[in-house]
Amino acid sequence: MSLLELRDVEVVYQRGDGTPVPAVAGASLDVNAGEIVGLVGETGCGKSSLAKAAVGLVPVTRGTITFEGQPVHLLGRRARPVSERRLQLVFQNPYESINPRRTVGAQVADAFAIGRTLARSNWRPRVEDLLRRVGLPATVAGRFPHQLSGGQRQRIAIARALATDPAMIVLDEPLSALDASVQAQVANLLVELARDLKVGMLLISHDLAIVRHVAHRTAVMYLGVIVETAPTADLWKAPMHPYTQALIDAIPHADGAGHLPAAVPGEIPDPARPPSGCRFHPRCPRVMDRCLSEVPELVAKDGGRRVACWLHEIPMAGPWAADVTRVSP
Amino acid sequence: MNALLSVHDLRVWIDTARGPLTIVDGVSFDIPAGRVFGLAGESGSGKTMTALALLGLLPAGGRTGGSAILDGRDLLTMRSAQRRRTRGREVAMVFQDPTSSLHPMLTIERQLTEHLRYQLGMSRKEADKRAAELLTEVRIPDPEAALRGYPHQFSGGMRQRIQIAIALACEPRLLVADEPTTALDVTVQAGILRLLHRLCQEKDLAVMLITHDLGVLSALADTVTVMYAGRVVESGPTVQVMARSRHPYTRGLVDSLPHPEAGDRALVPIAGDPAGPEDRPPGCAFHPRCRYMEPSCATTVPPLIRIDDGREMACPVDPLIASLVR
Amino acid sequence: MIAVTAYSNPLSSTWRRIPGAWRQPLAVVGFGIAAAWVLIALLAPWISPYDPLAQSSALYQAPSAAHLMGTDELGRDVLSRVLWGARVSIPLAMLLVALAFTIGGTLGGLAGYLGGWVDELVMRSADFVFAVPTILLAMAVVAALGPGLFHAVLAVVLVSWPGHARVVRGLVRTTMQSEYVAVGRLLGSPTHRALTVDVLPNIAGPVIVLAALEIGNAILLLSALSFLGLGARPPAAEWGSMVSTGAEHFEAWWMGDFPGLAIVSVVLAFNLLGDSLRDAFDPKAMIKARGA
Repeated sequence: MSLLELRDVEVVYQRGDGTPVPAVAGASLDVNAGEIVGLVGETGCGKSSLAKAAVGLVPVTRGTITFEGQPVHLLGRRARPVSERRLQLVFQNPYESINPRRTVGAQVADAFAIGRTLARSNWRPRVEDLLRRVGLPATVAGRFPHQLSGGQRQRIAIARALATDPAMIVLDEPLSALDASVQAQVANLLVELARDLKVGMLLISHDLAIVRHVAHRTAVMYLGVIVETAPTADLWKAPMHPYTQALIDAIPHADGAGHLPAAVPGEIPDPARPPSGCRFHPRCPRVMDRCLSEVPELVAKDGGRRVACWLHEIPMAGPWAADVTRVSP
Repeated sequence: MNALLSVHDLRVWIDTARGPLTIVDGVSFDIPAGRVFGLAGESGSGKTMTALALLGLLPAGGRTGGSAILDGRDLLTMRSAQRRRTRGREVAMVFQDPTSSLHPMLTIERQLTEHLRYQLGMSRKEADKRAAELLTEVRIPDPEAALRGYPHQFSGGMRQRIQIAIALACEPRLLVADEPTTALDVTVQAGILRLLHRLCQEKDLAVMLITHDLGVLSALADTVTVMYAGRVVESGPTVQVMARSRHPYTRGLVDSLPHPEAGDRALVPIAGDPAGPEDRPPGCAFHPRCRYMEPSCATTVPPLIRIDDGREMACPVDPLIASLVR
Repeated sequence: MIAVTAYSNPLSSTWRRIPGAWRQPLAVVGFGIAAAWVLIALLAPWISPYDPLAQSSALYQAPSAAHLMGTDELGRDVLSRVLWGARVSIPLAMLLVALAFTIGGTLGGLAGYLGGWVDELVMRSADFVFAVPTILLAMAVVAALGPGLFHAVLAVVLVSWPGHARVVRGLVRTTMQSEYVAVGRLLGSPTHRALTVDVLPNIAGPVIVLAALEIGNAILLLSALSFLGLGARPPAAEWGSMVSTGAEHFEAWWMGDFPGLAIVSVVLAFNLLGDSLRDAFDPKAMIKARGA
């Protein structure tokens, strides 16, 4: 059993005019201790909603979320159960997720103050310890957020989560708001923390390229469903789902060779009115008749991989079952 | 070779309560007609202010120095009437966020035809026809219906295409694009990059592409100028600057960014944070973060020197040699 | 329990910005005039040349060396009455704002925090007050209770609390939805702690600004009610009623103009003070704008 288990999760929002929007339409995912799982997708795929649902910030209309074997509760008026405090979330925008009117040291110490896990006299050394752990000097503790850069603030947000001695951290686009040269710093930090502290991480991102350098496993999401999961290296070497291939092909190369990335025809549909059958079928270069009417399930393949695509569903077991033909652009 | 736009020693200051703040500190470059010129830099580099200065769109309290000659006229010292005629007719701009650069309460038709009727004096019928043509060029499906629509009815990628159509309405010679794809999904970005590429070739349009994304520059730009803290640190043909970078900042940037062709090689970050206009270190602005720093770097601003045909670089310590020695 | 560690001081980041705001000349002017009037209110018994109620035979005297602001219809020194008027208007206005702020702020805070029917009740009551023109409502209240300064104060409190309530409610609601409150909740913070630690320090600024601006408003309303004869009764030295009497004696311009100028200067001062405080508390000024 995994540390964090999401099974057939559905998250539905109400739009302004009352139409229900299924941001997440049945997603399943596992994250283990010390493992970084990257969840990648574009606008409207529901990855942010899934992240918030995973920690109990938004309600789940169907499916289950389990942390350390126990179901995760929706955060209401009451304080969050102690058992769930080892499941934390780091937000995308370090300018909004830190209180501008309190020192960063006080905010990192919040976990101790709230949980009463540490004697008051030990707060300061422990805060400085945490700051060092995320690569910041201890002197930063007395500063206010506006005196720090975006990269430093994001580290504070991570330190704040670490103060609960977490077993699992969900990070919602932690690198997107950072400068290009700073992203690598924080990305490397996450890898270090997962390795040293055995913390599991669910890393949400729209940037498949940077997830490659951080995640052990990668899951690809499209319009509310997970279409493929695989160990990261395998995903890049031999993507199985045509959307994964399209994402990889759309990434520009920085070698100066003038390579124009490949575009995907069409637009991402409205999540409130998804296409029938396989949700990607209107834009898929390998679409078959089956894809228009039957919804492919996320099926396990060799090597710890899963994919939801009729190209890989062979009606009977046979020599073709392990065929992972690359889809040409 | 006659450049379409020749910028020489451009400086931009903002007047603040604490005195003038230098944002752009002596930047020079040439943009040839019909080619794509890339301006690379992170936040605090001054790249956006450079573009705004060229178009006369600096915020209140902004002042410029140096020159920017377009067809014999200096964009920086133009009078406002002449500037109004130049904007849109000769130089147009596309911004990062298509949500805020399109008027939410006007139809697409209004926004597209406004320039055509004001700048070119077209009649309503002529302008509408041309507007539909423009939408077809940027591959908006069903242009007639699209004209009657409002911005919020379109996706981010579509809005960016519309913004490009508006910019190209009066057939300018130079298009300035400030982070045109940063706010878009990667698959949508690919479409916009292809569109820009096609438009460049078909219309002999020069593009000034401003972005921090080296991949985007790599796809479109013929030449790249890299800015850091208001100054140029390296410039030259794109393939040279990306694949064989000489300045420590450029090298650091290339090494710290994940790109598909780089495979599984580890990301090597640049230590510290990008310097903004308020906290610019003395001497070479990059020296506190630089692996190859020498004592002189903290006191003297390194001059931009020619290292090759069409290549310039502002670092006295050549990393190629330094890394061999160490 | 607020986690006050060795480092934290919820308002200190804001207070540090105030010195910067003082460099604005208008802020200094506003603060100066307001401070001067407060001092006058405190020191009036000692600095006014005459007893404000002392009548004399020198009626309708134009300003002169003996009476710098002239005398009124009963021979009383206008200057002394203006100075003593400050003792009426300013403390009352401050008391008034404090009351409106406490009542309105608490109701608004509860509305924003609890939502639901509490929110509906408070906001609809506020809407009712907003729907009626302020001065008319105040007049109606005073008419019902009977004229007098105390009743005038009650009336102004009644018409002022909804403004405070609405602002506080909005601020509480917005702040409760901010990401740092969510972070606190995820760490296990109960909602009441989120309120004290995260919400209150962030709403203190705008709320203080509103209070400062409201003092000016309160003085204006009180004076207006007295002008209409519904507030202070003669022979009390109150600016509004002095202006009213002065209006009946136009040739003796000093009787109405000086109290009128006093009102103008105090209201202006507190408005300037409020505006400069608002600039000082502006959180955007605190966030370094990046991206060039």
